[in-house]
Amino acid sequence: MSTSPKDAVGSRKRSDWLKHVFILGIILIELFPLYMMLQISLKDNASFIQNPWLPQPPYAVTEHFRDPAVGTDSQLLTRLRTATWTEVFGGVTAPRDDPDFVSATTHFTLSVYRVENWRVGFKTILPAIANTIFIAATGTAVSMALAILGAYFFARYRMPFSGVLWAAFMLLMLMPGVANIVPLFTLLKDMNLLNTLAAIILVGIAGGQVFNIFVLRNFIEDLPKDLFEAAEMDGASHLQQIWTVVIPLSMPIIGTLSILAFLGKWNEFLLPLIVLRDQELFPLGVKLIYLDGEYVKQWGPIMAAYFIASMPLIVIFLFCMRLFVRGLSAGAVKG
Amino acid sequence: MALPLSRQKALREWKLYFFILPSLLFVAVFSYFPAGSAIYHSFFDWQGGDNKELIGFANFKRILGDPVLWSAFGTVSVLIVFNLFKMIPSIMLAVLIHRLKSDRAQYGYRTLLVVPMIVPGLVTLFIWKFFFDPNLGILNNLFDVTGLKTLLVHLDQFFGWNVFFASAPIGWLSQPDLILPALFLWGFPWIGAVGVLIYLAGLQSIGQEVYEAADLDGVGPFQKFIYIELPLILTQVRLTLVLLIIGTLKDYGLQLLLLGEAGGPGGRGMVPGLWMYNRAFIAGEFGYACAVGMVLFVFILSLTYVNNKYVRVEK
Amino acid sequence: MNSSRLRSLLPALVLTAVFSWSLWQVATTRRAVVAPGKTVLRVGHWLLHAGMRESFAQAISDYEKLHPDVTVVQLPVPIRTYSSWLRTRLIGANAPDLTGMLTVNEEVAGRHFLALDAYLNQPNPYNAGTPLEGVPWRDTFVDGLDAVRGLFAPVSGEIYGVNLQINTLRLYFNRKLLRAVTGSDSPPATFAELQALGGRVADYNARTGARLVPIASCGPYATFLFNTLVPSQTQRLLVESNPARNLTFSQHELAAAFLKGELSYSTPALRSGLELMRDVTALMTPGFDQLQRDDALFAYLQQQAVMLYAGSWDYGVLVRDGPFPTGLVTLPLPGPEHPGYGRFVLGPASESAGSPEATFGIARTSPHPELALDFLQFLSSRTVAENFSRQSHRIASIVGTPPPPDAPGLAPVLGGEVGGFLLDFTGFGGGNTLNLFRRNLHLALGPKGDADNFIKALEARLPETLRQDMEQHLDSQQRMICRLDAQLAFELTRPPAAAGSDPSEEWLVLAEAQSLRQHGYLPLRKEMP
Repeated sequence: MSTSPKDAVGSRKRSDWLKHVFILGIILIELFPLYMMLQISLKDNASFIQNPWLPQPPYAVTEHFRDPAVGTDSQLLTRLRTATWTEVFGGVTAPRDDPDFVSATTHFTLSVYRVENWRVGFKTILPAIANTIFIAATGTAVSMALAILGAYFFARYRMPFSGVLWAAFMLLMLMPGVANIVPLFTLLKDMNLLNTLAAIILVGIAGGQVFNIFVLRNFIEDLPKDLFEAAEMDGASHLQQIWTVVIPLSMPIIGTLSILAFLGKWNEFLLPLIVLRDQELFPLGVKLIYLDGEYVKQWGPIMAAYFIASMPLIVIFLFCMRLFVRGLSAGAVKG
Repeated sequence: MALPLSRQKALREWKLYFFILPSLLFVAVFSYFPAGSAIYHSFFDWQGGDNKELIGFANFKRILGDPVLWSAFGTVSVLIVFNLFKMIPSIMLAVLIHRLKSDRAQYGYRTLLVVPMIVPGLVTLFIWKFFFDPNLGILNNLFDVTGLKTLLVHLDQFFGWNVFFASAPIGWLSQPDLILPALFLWGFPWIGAVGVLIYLAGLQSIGQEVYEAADLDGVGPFQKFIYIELPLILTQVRLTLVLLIIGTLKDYGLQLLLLGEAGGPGGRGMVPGLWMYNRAFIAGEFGYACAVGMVLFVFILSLTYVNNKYVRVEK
Repeated sequence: MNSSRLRSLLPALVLTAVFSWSLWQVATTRRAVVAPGKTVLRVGHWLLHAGMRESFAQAISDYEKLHPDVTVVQLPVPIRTYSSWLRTRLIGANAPDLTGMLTVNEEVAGRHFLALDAYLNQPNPYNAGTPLEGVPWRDTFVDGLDAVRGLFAPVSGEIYGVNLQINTLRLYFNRKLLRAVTGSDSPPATFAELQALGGRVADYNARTGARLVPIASCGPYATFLFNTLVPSQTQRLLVESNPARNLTFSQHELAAAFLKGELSYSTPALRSGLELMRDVTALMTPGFDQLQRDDALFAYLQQQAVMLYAGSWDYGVLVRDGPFPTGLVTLPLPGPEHPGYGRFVLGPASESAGSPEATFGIARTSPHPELALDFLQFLSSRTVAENFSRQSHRIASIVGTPPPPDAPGLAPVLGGEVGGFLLDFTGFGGGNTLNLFRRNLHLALGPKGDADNFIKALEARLPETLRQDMEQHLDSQQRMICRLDAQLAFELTRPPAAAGSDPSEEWLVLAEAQSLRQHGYLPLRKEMP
């Protein structure tokens, strides 16, 4: 996969352990948010405040209080809460500001782990994930298909007006569409596409075209012409030529472009935020914004939702990672 | 290169135009038309509905005197400087990984890097927002535990910043003076896995002999970086630089999510894009928002032109 | 198929499976909501606080039992994105049928919401069987919808929405902490006791090494606190000198008085208001100005503060998340017998009817306005209001609804004197004076605060900012008055209701409203150079 020589690069004299330490340190810091998501998702707010950094120990504390209405120790109120690590090893101390406190004991129990946070998280975020997958996958597929067709048009022959059309596309590459969102909103309203997923998909397709066509055109132009001529000699139409010649050979670049496009659409939230009204249509970005806007947040379910939101990409990357890294390296070396 | 063709062949291949038609249609409807419409409407007093009133250059005159917009440009320049600085850790990490002796370790780290990249950008953003939370956030907890908070409070009393108080949690996103530092801190340790992978790929072509020669000449590690590695990744760095500057100028999603629609307390986190969004979708002044967008557009366009003239983008 | 072919096919299979699942999921969730054969009614609001969504869900299921062919869908939107959400929905013409009216001004209300005046004179059909049967809908609300009228249509006087609840402000206290500090859990009954509580908390802190704060505060809630205290000082002044003799001192009247030199911050009553603010900041969290509402709530819930001055909307959260019993009491204001502040005070102010909450209007673009009206009437009926109040711990705005059973103190205290006016020109003109006031307020507050420093810092720029704000106020008044011209002209083009030549009743109402506004506007315009 890499083109570097098999032997090592770098100084032979000193050992590499310092580099390893440093790199591992950075990677650990990068993984820290994932760790936090996991450990918070099993706590409720109270145990998180007690114990923000470490996972919850499987111990709970039962505290006994005098009932202020009764006044004597005959009837005690009890309160159950989770224990901190210091309390597990060092014992419980009396809270300072409570004159009614009587006693407290710790005991082992697995019920301190709030697994229902995950159930709530799934219920909250799964529809949004489905919407996002739908939007991203459809948008990427259509966008790539149209881009391949378009790039083929530019790369195969220098048709009349192709220069003008190419300039029309390239102009867009230079034009930052920063002010587009405002009239885009009214355009979608006039097309009656507000509050539909179709609006997001269509705008997403349009957004990706220019870059994809640009990269694909350069790639297709570099393919040997005799392959095309051989296919044409065999009576293949242009579509068949694309299917038999272009696609197999450009698989890596198509894969990389698809993944980049997919990622871009996965993270999109601005247009859905202003276009969509109904909650069942919300993709991931908007759903996370709404979750974050809650008045008093229960962090457990929210962290579970965040973690679940990260999982589809993990799955996708586990399958496509080799493709992605190879494509990136190939593209980078060329560019 | 695309083959040239004779007129007869071109006429026979007329069906090929259908290949470009859908893309053209999409781009015309969803990219060109809104762009044109934005230019058109920037001369109107437009509330977003059907009624608009032509007011000529009044929007632009208002822009000239708009203090929020100009301070937003100031903020975005600071953010560009921050982001330039934040490019460095990726380069450093790529060089470090590249210089490892073991090839297997290189591949392992390369894989490990992708894992944090998996976390969608939005989730990372919200996690950092959670880190910044004054009461529950990890950052404040860290500062308290390591004594940095008391240090900051003392410095505050000495310099008179009026930002850090002993009895109040540090409000990263609620103190106007802390917003820019918070935007700088966000994303620590500022490694972009995509960037690192691209730089690593670019560094692959350096052979062992170059390093051996450098060692014979007694070149130190930092000089090795400047003379050997940097030139090879220079094109990538330049490309990333340009994209970074244009991206920072354009983007306002980060500020919208972290700080809210008004750019945070005191509006210190307001960037031009966010001001445009604010004017359109909160104040309902669509015409003025288009004008702001136009100004931003011209700004970026001129930067891109300058970049293209002096920095050729290779094919 | 050999294994390597299978392995390379596996990613594609997985991806296809995932995509099919997502497609199926999108289709089914959409179909679940837009069920065929049923009319869908949408209700959009910002009320994410404890108990509100559940109360709505309960009301919705009750309504759906009464009307089986209707599905009602709640759209809760976080308050932080509510203003842009509302704007985009209104402009995009797909606002929910019933929309919560937050950050709505008269222009937005008039353009996008239906005027409800015609329906307000009829009784609410859902009140049948309750003591409110046969009462016109308008009168089933505690204040006859005066508050929403002033909020959404101060100029034309039309009613574009109704409020389902009202808010009051209360001083919440941690019973356990209070007992630890003072030995008893009864709250301070007079302002002097409140001030003394500060000293007792300090003693407690010194004795036990704790770091308790008497009142947990933050920027927004501190404003509430000041706005409750200061009017106690301007009460007497209001009654004695109010220009229009209508027991209110509007901000432009105050600004005119300032500009004419009749009043200033050195006037004893106003100056005393500033000093009162300073005295109460001694009880508040240091650096409160930069804190947010969440910070104050957190500090109180974490038992870092003994008391919290917050709204009735927070009560649900305090009860749900606080591991200690919370009591509540109205803020004890200085009474006439108070040594320092008593001479300006007439007596405890009436809370009139609290401020409106949960205001809903019917969007003009709704496909089923009658259905929306019906549901709105359902929501504002006596029985549903009682359920809401019980479940969400908040006060309903329907006459005779009892306050939540566990917190009767939340209900507004209706008996009392007229409240005084505020000092800070909030919402007046372009906010220049408000900015000036806020920027210099720190000179008057805090342990080193002195009202004289504040007054001196203000005297240079105050006339100028007042003039700027007055200009902007008059301009916007003029625009509002002129806007009514279009409505009046429209009314003139309509045929008269009866065979006679009487102008339409609508025209009369609007013409009178316009005339009133002009009466208020023209003298001021004449006085301004």
